[in-house]
Amino acid sequence: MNGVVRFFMGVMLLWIAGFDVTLASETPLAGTDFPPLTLKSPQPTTRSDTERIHPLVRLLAKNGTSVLESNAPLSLATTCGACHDTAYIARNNYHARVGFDEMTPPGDSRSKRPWDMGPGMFGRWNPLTYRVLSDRGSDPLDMGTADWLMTMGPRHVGGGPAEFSRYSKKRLTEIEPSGTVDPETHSVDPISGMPRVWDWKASGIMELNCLICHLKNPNNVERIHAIKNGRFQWAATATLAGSGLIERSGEGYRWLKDAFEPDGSVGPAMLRNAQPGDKNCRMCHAKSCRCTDPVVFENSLENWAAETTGEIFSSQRMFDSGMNLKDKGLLSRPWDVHAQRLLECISCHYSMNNPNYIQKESEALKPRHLRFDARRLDINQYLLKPDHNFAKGHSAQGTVARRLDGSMRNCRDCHNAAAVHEFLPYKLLHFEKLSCPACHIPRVYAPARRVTDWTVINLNGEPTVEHRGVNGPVNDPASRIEGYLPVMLLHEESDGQYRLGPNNIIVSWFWVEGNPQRPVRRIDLKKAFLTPEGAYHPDVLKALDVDDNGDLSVAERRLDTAEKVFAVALRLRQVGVVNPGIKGEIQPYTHSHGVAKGAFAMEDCRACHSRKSRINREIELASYVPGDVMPEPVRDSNTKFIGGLYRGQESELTFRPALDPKELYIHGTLRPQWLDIVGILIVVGSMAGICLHAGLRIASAQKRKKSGPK
Amino acid sequence: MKKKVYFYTIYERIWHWLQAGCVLTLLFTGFEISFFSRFSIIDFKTAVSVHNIVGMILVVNAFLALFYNLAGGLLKRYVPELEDFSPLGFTHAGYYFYGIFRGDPHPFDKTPEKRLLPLQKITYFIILNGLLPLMTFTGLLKWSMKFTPVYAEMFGGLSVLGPIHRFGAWLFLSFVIVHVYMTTTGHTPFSSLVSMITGYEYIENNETLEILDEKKT
Repeated sequence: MNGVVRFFMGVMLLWIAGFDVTLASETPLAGTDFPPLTLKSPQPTTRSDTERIHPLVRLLAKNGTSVLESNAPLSLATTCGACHDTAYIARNNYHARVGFDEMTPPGDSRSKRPWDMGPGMFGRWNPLTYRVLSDRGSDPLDMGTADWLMTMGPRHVGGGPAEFSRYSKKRLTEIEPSGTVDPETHSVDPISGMPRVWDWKASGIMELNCLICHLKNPNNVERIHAIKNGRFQWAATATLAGSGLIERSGEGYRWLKDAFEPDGSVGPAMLRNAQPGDKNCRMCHAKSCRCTDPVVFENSLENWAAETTGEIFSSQRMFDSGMNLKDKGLLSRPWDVHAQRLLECISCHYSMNNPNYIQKESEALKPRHLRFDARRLDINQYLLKPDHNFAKGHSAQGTVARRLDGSMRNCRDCHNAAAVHEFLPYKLLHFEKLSCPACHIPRVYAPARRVTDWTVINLNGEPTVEHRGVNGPVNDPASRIEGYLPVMLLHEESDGQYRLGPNNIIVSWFWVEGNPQRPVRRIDLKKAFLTPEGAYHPDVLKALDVDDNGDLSVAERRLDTAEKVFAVALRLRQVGVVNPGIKGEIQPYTHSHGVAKGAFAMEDCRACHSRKSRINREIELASYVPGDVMPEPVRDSNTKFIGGLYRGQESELTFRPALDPKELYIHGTLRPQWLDIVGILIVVGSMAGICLHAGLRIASAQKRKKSGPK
Repeated sequence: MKKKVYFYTIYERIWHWLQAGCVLTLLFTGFEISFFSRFSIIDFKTAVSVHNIVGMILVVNAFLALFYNLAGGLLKRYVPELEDFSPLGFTHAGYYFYGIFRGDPHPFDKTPEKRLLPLQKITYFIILNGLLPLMTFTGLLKWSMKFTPVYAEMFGGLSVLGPIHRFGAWLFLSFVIVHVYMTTTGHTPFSSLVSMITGYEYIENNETLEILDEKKT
């Protein structure tokens, strides 16, 4: 009987203490529980067999005739539209619309930048890509729709603004130029910077390119080549280069009849169409892959996700990578545990009416009497109208289609977090206040951009760029990659709760002009800084060339004195820039990939619950502050940027987080200092009083002893 | 004449030392939790677990004592009366501020029934009815966040409860320091401490002894 009582008392005490009283638990041994499928050099997974069941396809031109007959560019709206509702697909597709359906008058978007016209790639300015989409009346024109396509088109799938007018919603090919300069009928001459009429009929438009996502081996290089050369109508056709169906011919392509079936159709074996794989997503988002070759990191804007966050979505273990990582031999974890466990991009970012996935049901829309709505589209309905608004997470940088934020299953929708985390006291509280990546992305092991400084450009017309997490030039194989600790910021999640999560922070400085302000055109920057021959302008050299060698080193390309700022501003005025000034911005980039499994996640309480917590750790944002202009956080990141910006002794810019304990009270880290001071004063006062009292007692007792009894 | 009188029952002594142990452990682990980076003897997780367990023991022990005193009709001895503030409180304070240095005899003699002196009564009344419930309440609410944030949020959440609990801990520490020191103001520096271990205390005042004898007979 006593034993039973003792047992229950023991269980109760353990429960009080926060231990999970489950009697059996298995703790995986770090680094030893390699799943059998991913021992080493994982092979690409076997794709689904859609290519074998997809019917033969007749490749059609816009007018509905076979491309073999017309030798015209391939129209996927017509070709795929024979079976699929391509108009519906293009309409319900934030990859195609990129903010086209969310445009606002300049200055009215959530970012509140005077020159922004929406939250998406089409309308929202990004200091990394720099050029500003011009609105009607913008003078001078910076980037018309055709310029936007040639600049941003390599990372745009087509459709939306590449097909229709943002003003009249007509097809761009149907717009006739009027007498005035218009961003839809004019483009900017890359040499003179002057507007010129754009011939949409010659260039054609860029329909939604189904092939870039649905071919096994789309030729993105050829597609980008066509786009950058303004041959938009050929972009989809170019994607087939290398398949044996086409070859280059003059300004366009020639269809190779021999590759077609006798009836003019193409079989799936030739087309190799399939559901999108990671490789397709990587065309625009990131280069790192689940591949048999070692992961080799390359920082550039073409490797967008990696450049902005340092995230690598790969199953490969870090010590197998081709990168010069610090302590590489010890890095036995994979770049991303989800990739290692064979998840693909579409596993999470799926089509929201795909009956394969049981979509998260909105409590607001669901009938009250149902816990689960069993009605689903059948596969025919889905294939006719697959929703291409893919399930989306929520990030500081993902400003487009915010209405879909959180439509994706989040970590907690798939993982039963409460069932594990035995080690964690106050599980629910931690889950309430922390995003899962806060601990499961404890460190970023690849470099990421931290500064984009357009205040002085290099000879290629590019900004000065700094990266964090690398000791040396970013893409130099000899540079040691040290990675970095992400900055913990409060980000609003889909349930409306702000949770601490990991971020990279990129600070950008740039020149603005006019009223309302807008970034100085890149072409004007080039005119101001460079001569037509491509050397630095003598006035610029006079102001910045400290060592007088006729060139500007990276260190010299810094506006660190008022004189230098004045000289460059003067030079900008000379090329016609009105009222130039420097502006700075801080853009957080939320980390959601590069996830570590439990054994590699943050388990050290001290990492957060200490004075030197990573939550209030000071982070260097930039090694200098151009023009002494302190940057401001962007306003549409759904992230609270609480803390102060400070200048260090070396003039570096640091961010010192100062989370308000009212916002988030963290034991050992965030506490009202005054309260401790008062508490200590009370304790010290008590002790001092005691010492005084005891001293006086001893002294008086000795005095009495000497003077004898009364 | 000096006489050994039985003051503290075995239960009272166990209760006292258990509470003392709990308070010291709570202060230690609370310090560990709050100043983790500077003061780390046991690990954070263990400190949290021990803090929770010992806190619960303290609360249960406090309630048992409440039951003991209620059932035994002893609660009154902890309730200060008006005269405990004035004039007795002033007399008592005057002794500590003045008389003790002159070697004056203690103005009050304790009996097992009137074992708490005026200032003790007032202090314990504040501690037992103010500080201890406050610490228990805020501690339990903080602990409840382990299961649901609802109740803690009703009282402002951790940002309110944390600082209150923390400030209470500083006050408790001050109390412990002063309390330990005050034990040295007995007949001898360790007489009070010994009496709380053995249960016996020496009484010298003849009048008090007579009263005790009368009661005995």
